[in-house]
Amino acid sequence: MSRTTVPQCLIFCLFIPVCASFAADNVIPAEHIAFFEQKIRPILSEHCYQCHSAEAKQNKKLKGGLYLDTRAGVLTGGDTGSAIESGKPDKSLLMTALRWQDPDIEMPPKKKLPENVIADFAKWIEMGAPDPRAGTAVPSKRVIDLKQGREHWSFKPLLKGAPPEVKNSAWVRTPIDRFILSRQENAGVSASAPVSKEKLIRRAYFDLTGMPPTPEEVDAFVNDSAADAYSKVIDKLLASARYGEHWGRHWLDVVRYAESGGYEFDGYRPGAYHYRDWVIRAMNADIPYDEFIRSQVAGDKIKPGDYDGACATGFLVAGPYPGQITAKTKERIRYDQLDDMLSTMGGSMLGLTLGCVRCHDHKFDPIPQRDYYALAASLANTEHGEVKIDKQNEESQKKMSEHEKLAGPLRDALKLFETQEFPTRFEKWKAQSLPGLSSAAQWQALDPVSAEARSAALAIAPDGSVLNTANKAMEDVYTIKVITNQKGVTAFRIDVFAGKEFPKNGPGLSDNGNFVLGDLKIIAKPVDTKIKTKPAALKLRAVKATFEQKDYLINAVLDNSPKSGWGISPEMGKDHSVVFAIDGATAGFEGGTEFEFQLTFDHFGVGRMRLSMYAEERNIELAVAAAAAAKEREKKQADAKDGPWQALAVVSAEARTAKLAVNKDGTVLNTGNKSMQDVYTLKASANQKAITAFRFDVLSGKDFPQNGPGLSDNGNFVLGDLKITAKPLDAKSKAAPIALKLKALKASFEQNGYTISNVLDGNPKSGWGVAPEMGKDHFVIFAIDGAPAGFEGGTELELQLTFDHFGVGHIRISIQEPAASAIAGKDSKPEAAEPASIVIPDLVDAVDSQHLREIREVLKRGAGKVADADGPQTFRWFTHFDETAARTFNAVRDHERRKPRPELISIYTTKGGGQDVYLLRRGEVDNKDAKSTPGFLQVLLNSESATEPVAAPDKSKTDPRIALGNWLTHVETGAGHLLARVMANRMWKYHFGKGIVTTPNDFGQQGERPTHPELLDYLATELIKGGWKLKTLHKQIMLSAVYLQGSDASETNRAKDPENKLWWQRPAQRINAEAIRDTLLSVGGKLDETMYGPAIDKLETPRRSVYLRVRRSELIPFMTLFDAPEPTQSIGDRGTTTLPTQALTLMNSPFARKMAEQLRMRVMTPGIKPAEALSKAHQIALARKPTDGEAAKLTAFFEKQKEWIAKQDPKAAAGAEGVALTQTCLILLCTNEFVYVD
Amino acid sequence: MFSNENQSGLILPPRRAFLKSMGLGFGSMALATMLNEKATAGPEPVNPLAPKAPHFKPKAKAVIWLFMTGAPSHLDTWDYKPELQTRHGQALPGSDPNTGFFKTSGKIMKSPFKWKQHGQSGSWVSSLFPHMSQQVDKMTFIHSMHLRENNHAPASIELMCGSNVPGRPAAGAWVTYGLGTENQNLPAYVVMHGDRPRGDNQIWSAGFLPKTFQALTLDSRRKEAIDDIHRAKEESDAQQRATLELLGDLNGAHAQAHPNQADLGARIRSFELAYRMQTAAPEALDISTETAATRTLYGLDNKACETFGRQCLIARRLVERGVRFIQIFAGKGVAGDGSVNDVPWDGHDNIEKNHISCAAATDQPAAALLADLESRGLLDSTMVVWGGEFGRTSDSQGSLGRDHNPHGFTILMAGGGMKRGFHYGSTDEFGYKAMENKVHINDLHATILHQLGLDHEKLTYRYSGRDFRLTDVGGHVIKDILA
Repeated sequence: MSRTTVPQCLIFCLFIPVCASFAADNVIPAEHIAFFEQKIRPILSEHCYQCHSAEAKQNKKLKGGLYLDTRAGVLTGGDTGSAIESGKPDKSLLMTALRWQDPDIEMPPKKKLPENVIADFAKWIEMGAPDPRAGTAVPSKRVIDLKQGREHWSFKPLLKGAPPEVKNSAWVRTPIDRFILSRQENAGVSASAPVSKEKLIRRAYFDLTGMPPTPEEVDAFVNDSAADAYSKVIDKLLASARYGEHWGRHWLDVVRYAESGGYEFDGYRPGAYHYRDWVIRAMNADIPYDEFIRSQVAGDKIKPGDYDGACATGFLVAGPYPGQITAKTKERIRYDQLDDMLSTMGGSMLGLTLGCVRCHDHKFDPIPQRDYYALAASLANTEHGEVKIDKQNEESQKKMSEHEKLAGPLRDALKLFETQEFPTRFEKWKAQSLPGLSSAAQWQALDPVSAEARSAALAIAPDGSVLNTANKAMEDVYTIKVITNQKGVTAFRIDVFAGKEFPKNGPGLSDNGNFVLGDLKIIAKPVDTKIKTKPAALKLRAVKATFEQKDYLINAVLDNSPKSGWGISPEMGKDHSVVFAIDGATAGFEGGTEFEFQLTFDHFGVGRMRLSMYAEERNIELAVAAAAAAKEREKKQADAKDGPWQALAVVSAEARTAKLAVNKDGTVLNTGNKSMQDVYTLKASANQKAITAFRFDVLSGKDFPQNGPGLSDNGNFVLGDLKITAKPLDAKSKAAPIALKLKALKASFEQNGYTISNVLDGNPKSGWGVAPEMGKDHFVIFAIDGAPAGFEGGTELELQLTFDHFGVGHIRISIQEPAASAIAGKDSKPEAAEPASIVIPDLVDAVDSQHLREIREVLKRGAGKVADADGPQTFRWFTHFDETAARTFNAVRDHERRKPRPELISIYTTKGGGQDVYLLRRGEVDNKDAKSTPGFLQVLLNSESATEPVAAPDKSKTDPRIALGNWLTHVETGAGHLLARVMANRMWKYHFGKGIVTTPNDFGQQGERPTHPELLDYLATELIKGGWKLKTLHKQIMLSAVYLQGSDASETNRAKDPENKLWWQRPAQRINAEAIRDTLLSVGGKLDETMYGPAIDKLETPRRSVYLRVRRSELIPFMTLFDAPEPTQSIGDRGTTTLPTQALTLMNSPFARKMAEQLRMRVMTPGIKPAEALSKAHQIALARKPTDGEAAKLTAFFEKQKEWIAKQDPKAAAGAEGVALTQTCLILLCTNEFVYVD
Repeated sequence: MFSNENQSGLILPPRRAFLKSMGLGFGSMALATMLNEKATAGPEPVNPLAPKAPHFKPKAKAVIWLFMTGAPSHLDTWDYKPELQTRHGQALPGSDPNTGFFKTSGKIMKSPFKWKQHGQSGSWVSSLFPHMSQQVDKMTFIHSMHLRENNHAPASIELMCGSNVPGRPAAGAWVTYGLGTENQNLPAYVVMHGDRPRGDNQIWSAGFLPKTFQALTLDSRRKEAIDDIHRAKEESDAQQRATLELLGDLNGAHAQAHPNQADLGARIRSFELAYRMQTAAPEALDISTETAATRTLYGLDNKACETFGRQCLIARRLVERGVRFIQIFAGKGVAGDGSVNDVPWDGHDNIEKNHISCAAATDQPAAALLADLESRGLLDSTMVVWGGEFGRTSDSQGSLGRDHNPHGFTILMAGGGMKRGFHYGSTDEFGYKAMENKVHINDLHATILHQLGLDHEKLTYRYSGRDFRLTDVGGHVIKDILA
């Protein structure tokens, strides 16, 4: 009802009678109360109170915050809003629940109430839900108080206090230490002694690079007594490329990085690794953290077309995404996708749990649901996908504009020539040269007007061929446009050319020179815009190719599946051609035609190709076949037993149900789908002009039941009917098609009751059969009753065979002409003479360019003159006949061909798409509230009055994602202060093993409070002050006395602060899975430091672990065993487990044993003493020399092992030393010290 | 059964000194109990896998979940619907062609199998299960299962993790988290599979729980079931023990220098456990010691069901050895019917052909497992669950197949304190949707946890600011099916 248009008084009047009854609380009609008491209350009490009452609340059984034991409770409703809408049962949530209309709220949950009871509730609500129950024991819905919310420690501005004063200022090395020491002094705990230099360098290496120092690096540092020795090491490590790999991996945890979609098929995302590489590069380059964040949220928008920008937003789409989506699940999955982006952003950047706000206001933090949807709306236009990007975009743009600049003068020259010189030159040429020119070739090469591809860069060569100049891709579509003035186009030919510039000389661009033409569409459209015909794809049929690869036949080009198509393996390295004919009418519009060729390549395209057409009004397919038939004719004659029969090459064979195939010899084979009744329709062509009879041979074969020839279970068949139609092959012929009148002549055998005359009786039920003579070949002959058949220019024959009781498996058709002698006196042309009018274009036929014929057509159209509208195209055609014109024209074209073509890269990142975002009640897509507009979390807008999400702090009309990035990073007006806190805490956590806030992804109410809030804020402030440079903050932390501490644990400290909340020691840290594997590889001397690129999938590949494939359904067992996380959500803390299976892997796995073996080979230099070798191995593995005691034990162990080995197998004694040394090295790799760094 | 005390065979004097220094006396306790001890200064128990006390006295000690990968049709197995037989080919009232993954015909399809009542309970079973039908009096049939997802991977994730959101821990991981491991020489949670089911390790993930609680997977296609379980060929037992001795020595010294780091002690013990696992795990998986009668019972001499038979027999052996949660993903059937190996029961094209082959691969071993557990007195303490990730449509897909149907299907339970020969809940007259006593997957999980002595509302794990449960925000224990 519209409140604004209905007069006030009317509303008043209308409502009086209704409202009156409820105006005062207690005036409820007695019968209504009775209804409630009898029908409603008992049900509520019996079925609902258990979970929805004050008592339930007491028993901690209250569900959904809903109370149904008071009237107020019913009206207020629970977490998801009011339970009833008075007077409107169909809009009342209570009814939805009782009716079980929503699978998520089916009430009562165990069993639906009887229908009559449900109807009572509907009636009750219709009455206005009369309810005498008193009581207000309903806590009002929690209302989020933003002002109060901003008082939460992490939402407050950063504390600006100066570092506190301390007593023992001698210990202090940096301001950080004051915050720590002050608290320690108050609590009476004391810092641990500094760690030794030997241990310190190992700690620094692992902390910053995830790799151990070499013995030489340890020595150099230990012996460097300069005051800045340690500082120099930190600088060196921060500058090392290994730093970005290690810290990048930390960030990849936080952003749930993986390279596949998870769910049903876990689709792999080959272009996903660019994001991983970007993170590593960004870390190494130390790009400011605020910029790092903005790039990940909106890099693609900040710098459109930029490689780094596109890589960075890989952040948004790194989450899981189902591969199979049905119409039913599409919308829900879209909101899931947005939720994944938001939850990750919340956890990784702001330390906030946003996921729960999808369905209701945050239960603990001051985040209302509409804030969630405001953020979601900022991502509305963001989808997953592959994007092609030019890596050197800026440079390419520059080159392109330079290229464009050079094109200007060339185009001007062309224009000048065309307007000033062309008309006179053309007239002269037309008069002098044109009459003498002829174009006899069947095929005309087409001169494209444009050539574009989805991925490849295409260029047009002066001869009209199309070249791929860059960016070949597995899957690609070439779109080539040509125009012609000719009509009667019947066929097209595609030539693909080999060339030295292609892999294995081409013609394809796959590594072996092959290609797959998966699909071909040719769209014809009139050039004359006045013709209103809609552009339509021509119906094509495949005619012939120079060669067809097994399972890659030319027919597959036209099957509408781009995956199947034409290939040429193993015949690569040479030119190939294929011909497709138009199936049906010829093509060509009055006034000119544009053909658009769409060639879809599946397994790489071709390097150079040329298109030609055939514009003779003749069925090319039949013509080609006729030529083949003629060639074989003589051979075939010998086969015929009964007179000079000539086998017909069938060209097409179709049946109502059966699958028919035409064999190479022109016979027809049934390959499947046999049925009781069927009609075979076969087409063939003949050049003979006096056909007198047809012979059908039905052939037996092993593949048929009882060897056939029929397909019924006993090998029989019934040919019920036969119709033969003859029509002229030449489309220009005016002769009408003829249905031939037939008479049955003879058969090899006639079944009793199934004689050949039955075939022609017009009744398909009666016919010719061969029982009991199955299992052998049969034939039947029908003669033409009347004049012999055959047209000038060739005849197309259509033979329709109706079978009643199963068809035949294999059939050959032959025709007969009267022998020359038999028809002497009549027109006795010798058989061998081909009718001159039949011209057969073959694949090898010469190709001429289309230019001459086009000019002739233009002139024909303009009655000897070039019409104004035809000027430009005529000039194009003319350039082929005038050298100066050609030079001017080709100057432009050649320049175009040299246009800089950037190398495009496929990146899995954000793409445009998606649709409006609505606030979803209870997070359900079927329960939409208003459309959401982009905005932010109000609690993180530094404004007391801000109650509505605002567009952007900078108030500009920026893209919502750019605005989001600005809000996230803006310290004063946005979330920047929280962003800095969260990151400073992460850095502390990775350096010390746990954070100042021990829940690094949760800085909300439910998260832990910081042990040292002032310190955290100091670090955050320093991060911001230092230009958001992480490397600067690393150094500040690492230079502090608190970081330099060892792992001592005095009794006093342990008693007073068992959890080390005061940071009185820096405990040894278990290195992460990546560092364990990388260290094993580096200790084995095998680490390959190649950076970046597609993921590696083998554990043994000696690249750093950050480059290992992350496939959600198949994580690498070694990595997960050592706690690499499931990449489904942001991970702030991996946790460290200790498992016997880890021990098994280090003791027994071929990988660990191989690394031990390699370590042994590194240290066992010729002539070295075992003890010395072991000492070296110890230094490599653990970055320190063994103590005397350790050395003695290792040596003793080695000797014992050697002895055992020799004893077990005397033959192995010679190698016993090496094996024993390997075994000893393995122990080093298994030690706690190897995986725990002090 | 194993005796933990005598398995070690490792006497490591230096370590003893070390343990003393940590307040632990080696001589005074068995290894298994030693693992429960808290370190003196650490806030966390040393061993998260130590057996933990349940919330209340459990009925069941172990669960064996026979996962019928690909989703068998309830209408052709356990949920007899005469209406389908009489109204074959007619329009299915209320049919929604989008119920499943493809589109259905809307026409009722009868079950191609013969149905008979079996056992004292008179339970209807189709002719697919000549063996399982002999065991019906041991089973509780829940005919009113339903869940949300209508495709294999998400539904399997929902079925095992209680929610369709990937990244949540599976039931087995929750149980291990809640109860720890009874036999420290073996993992508590074991998954057996052949072709990896659709959804892969997302179905048995430990999710956000520590990796400690993750499943050990045994791939039936592999020769060596557990990675690196065998000592290197060239190494003798004595050599390995000497290795461990020196390792313990070096690690002991290292741990002494870090007196408040309990994890270092745990790591020392993990090597000893690993050493014992090398014997215990292959022994548990070695079925060559089983009698010929047992082998025949499980169908090991029958090619059609040999793989599943071996898996079921191993499951029993694992239960005997204290493993808590075992899940077997039934692999491919024998006859090709167009279904795919990673979802063998997925009879889209031809339910008859498909189900005959899948039943042939699973019927005898599943029945044998129930009989065998019963005869060994283990069925009361072992809960066996049989079922797929959803049911199938009452109307046909094409003419002979059935599409996915998450709105109603049957799951069987036996043992572990469930009622015997009992039917609970029902679908409508066409078996299209669960109607009476609907059981959501959260309810089923709540019930299983309850039988294991765990209150599903108390078994929580704080992650990402929320206390998560296996039962998400739902779940009721189905008291009516408990014996």
